[in-house]
Amino acid sequence: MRALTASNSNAGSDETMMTRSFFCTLITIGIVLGLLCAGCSQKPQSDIVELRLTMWGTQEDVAFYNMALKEFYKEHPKIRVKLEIIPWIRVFDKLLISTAGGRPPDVSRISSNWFVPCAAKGLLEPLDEYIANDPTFDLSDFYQPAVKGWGTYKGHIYALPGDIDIYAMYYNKDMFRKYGVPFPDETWDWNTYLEAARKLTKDLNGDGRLDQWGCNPDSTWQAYVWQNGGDILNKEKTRCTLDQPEAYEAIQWMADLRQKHHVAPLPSDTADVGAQKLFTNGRIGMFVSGSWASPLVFQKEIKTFDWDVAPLPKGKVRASFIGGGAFGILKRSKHKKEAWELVKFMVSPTMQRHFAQTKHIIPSRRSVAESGAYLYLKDKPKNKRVFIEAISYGHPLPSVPCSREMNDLIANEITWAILGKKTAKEACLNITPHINDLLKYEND
Amino acid sequence: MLWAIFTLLLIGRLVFIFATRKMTLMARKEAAEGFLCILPWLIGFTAFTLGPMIFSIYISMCDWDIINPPKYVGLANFEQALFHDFRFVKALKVTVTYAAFALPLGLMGSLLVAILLNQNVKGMTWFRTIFYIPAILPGVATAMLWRWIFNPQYGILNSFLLKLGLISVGPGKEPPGWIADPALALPSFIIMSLWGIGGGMIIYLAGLQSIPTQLYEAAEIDGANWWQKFRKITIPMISPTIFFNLVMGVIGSFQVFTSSFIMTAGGPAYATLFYLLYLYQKAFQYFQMGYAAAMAWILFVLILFCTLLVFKSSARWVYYEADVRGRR
Repeated sequence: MRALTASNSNAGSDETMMTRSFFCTLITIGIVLGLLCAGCSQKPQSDIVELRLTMWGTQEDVAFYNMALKEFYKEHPKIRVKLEIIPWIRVFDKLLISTAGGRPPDVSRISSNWFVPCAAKGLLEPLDEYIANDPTFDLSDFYQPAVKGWGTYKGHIYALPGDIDIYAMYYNKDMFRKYGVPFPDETWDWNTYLEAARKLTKDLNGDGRLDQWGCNPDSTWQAYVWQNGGDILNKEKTRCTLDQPEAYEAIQWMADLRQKHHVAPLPSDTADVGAQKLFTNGRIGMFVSGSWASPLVFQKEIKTFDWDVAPLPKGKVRASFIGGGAFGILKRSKHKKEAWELVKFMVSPTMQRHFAQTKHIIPSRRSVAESGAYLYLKDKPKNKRVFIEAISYGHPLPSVPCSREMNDLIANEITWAILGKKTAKEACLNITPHINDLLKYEND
Repeated sequence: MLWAIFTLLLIGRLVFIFATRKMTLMARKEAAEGFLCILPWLIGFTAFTLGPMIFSIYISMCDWDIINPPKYVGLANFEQALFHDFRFVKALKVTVTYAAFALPLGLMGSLLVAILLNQNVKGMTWFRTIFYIPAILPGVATAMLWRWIFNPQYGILNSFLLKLGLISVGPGKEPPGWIADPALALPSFIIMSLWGIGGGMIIYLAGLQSIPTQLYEAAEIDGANWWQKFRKITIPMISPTIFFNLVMGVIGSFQVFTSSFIMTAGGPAYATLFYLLYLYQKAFQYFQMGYAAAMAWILFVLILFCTLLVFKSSARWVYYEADVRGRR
C-alpha cells in the first residue's frame, strides 16, 4: 500500500494528464459503441413475414428441413422460415426462457416429455379455433393416442402430433439362432421372455463373471407396471398409484431379472458404457427401446449381427410406452395466422412422407403410417409393422406439469429396488406420499 | 428495473457524498477520477450482483416459474425447505458430510504435499508443476476423467485394486461400484476431492518459503527434533495460510456442483445430491425459482455462519508476525 501512494505522489503532472486524456478517450469510445449498437437492431420494413421455427436435431437436418420448406414457400411466397436447431434436451428450457424474455419462436417442435408443462404454463396457443375454421384440415387422420397424449391438455388442443415414438423389443437374431431359441413374436409373455433370457445369458470367457445377457435393465419401468394392469397415477392425476400391488409387483419383477435370475447386466456392468452399447456390441440378446433408436443408433452402429424387432412381451395385458413430437404455436408469437400455416405444413402428409422416408420416423397420420411410405422402407428392422400395431396399446407417460420432478423422485427411489437393497414394495410405499404431496402442491 | 433504480440510488448517494464533503478542488478532481475509474465495476456490481441479490430476496418469498408473474407466498418456501422436504435434508446431509471429510483431508493433504515439495531435491520445479496441473484442469474435464477412473468394469481404480489383491472378482463377487453404488458414491467424491489439492498446495508453498531459515537453525542449535520444529515453528508461521485455505475450503466445499452434475446427476438414490445441485434442479429443471432462491439464501446464511465461526476461532490459533499479541 505504501509503495502505491509513494509512486502516486512522485508522479509528474505529465503522467496525470496522459492518464486523464486516456480515460476520456476510453469513455468516448464506449459511448460511441453504445450508440452504434442501439442503431443496429432496426430492420428494413418489408411485406415478408419471417417465422422462427425451433426444432431439435443435428446439423445435417438443417439441409433436409430447408429442402422441405421450399415446397412451403411455393404455396406461401410471403412467408420465410428461420430454422433454429438446438439439442433436444435444451428445447423446453429455450421455449420457457425465450417466452419469459418476450422473444419466443413462432412455431416449435414439442416433445411428448414436456408437452404438458408447456401447455400448463401457458406457453402455447390453443388450436381448437384454427382447426374448426380451417376446412382443409382433418384431425381424424391422426392417431388418437398421439392427439390425446401430446396434443391435448384439459380438453383443448395445443399442438398437432407430427411423429410417434413407440417402444418395442429389439433382438439379436444371430444370438437367438446360435443358442436355438425361437424368435420372439406376439405370443410371448413375461415367462417366455424370462426363459429365453436365461438361455441367452452366458459367461463366455469362463472367468466366473457373466459377459453376455439375455435382456437389458431398461429404463422404461412404466411399461411393466402397465403390463401388470397397474398405473403410475390415478385417472384424475391427483394420486400416485405406485402403492398398489399391480405396480410394485411389476417393478419387483423387473428388479428380479437382475438380482434373482441374473439375466440382465447389473448397473456396474453398464456404468458409463450404457446398456445400449452392450446391445450394439452383441452382448445383450433382447433390448427394449424406442423406434427412434433404429435410424439414429442401430442402423449405424450394429455391424456384426442381424437384428429385428418384436412386440414387448405381454403381462396381464399388452402395453407399451408411446411418445413423440408435435408442432405448436407459441402464445406470444406475433404472426399466428402464418404460424398456423407452417404448423399445418409440418404435419401434412407430404411432410410426414418425407420424414418417414429420410428419417424413418413413424408418421402420426394413419394414412401415411399404414402406407408404403413407412412400412416398406428397405432398412432394418424388417418387422416395422410391430411399431404400428403397438400404437393401439401405447401409454404416454403420465403427464402432469411436474412430470420431470416426479420422474426424478421415482427413479431415484426405484434405484434401491434395482440394486436389490430394498424391495420394490418398500421403495414404492416410501415414495408414493411424496409424489402425492407434489401433485397436491401442483394442483393448489 | 429494480437494479436500475438501485444504480441510480447508489450514484445519487455518491454524488451527494461528493458534493457535501469539504474538499479542495484538487482533491475533488482526484476523487472524481477515482470514481470514474471504478464506475464500470460499480455499474456492473449493482446491475449483476447486488440488484439480483435484492431481487432474489423478493423472489424467495414468491412462487415463480419464470413465465407467470410471481405470486407472493411469504415464508412458505423456507418452511417447505426446512421442514417438509426430505430432499433438502438429504442435500444438506450430503453436503455437510462431504465438507466434514473433504475439507480436513484436503487441508492436510495439500500441506503434506507442500512440505514435500519444499525440500531441496533435483528437478523440484517439475514435481511442483506435476502436482499443480490437476488443480487447474476445468471441472468438467476432471469429472469426465474420474467417471472413467471409477468405472467398476474398466476403471483404472478397480484394476489397480485387483492387481494389489485388495478386491476379488468372481461368481457372486461384484467389484465395488463406486459412483454407481449409493453407499460408495459420496466417499468416491471425497476421494476425488484430493485431485484438487494443488491450489491449496501452491499457497502453502508460498507460506513455507517465507519462513525465515534462522528460526530453524536456532531451533536446531537448541536441539529440537523435526517434529518439534514442525509443531513449534512451521505450523504457527504458516497459520495465516492455513486460515486462508480453511476459509476458502469451507466456502468451496459447500458449493460442490460440477462434478456431481456431470458424473451422477445427484444419484444413485440421491446419494450425491449436493446442495447446489438440488438448487439447480429446483431452479432450472423444475422451474421453481422461488424455492431455489429461498434455498440460496439458506445456504448463504449457512456459509456465513461457518465462515464467521472460523474467523472467530482464528484469534486463538492464527499467528501474525506483525501482531504484538503473543499466542496465549
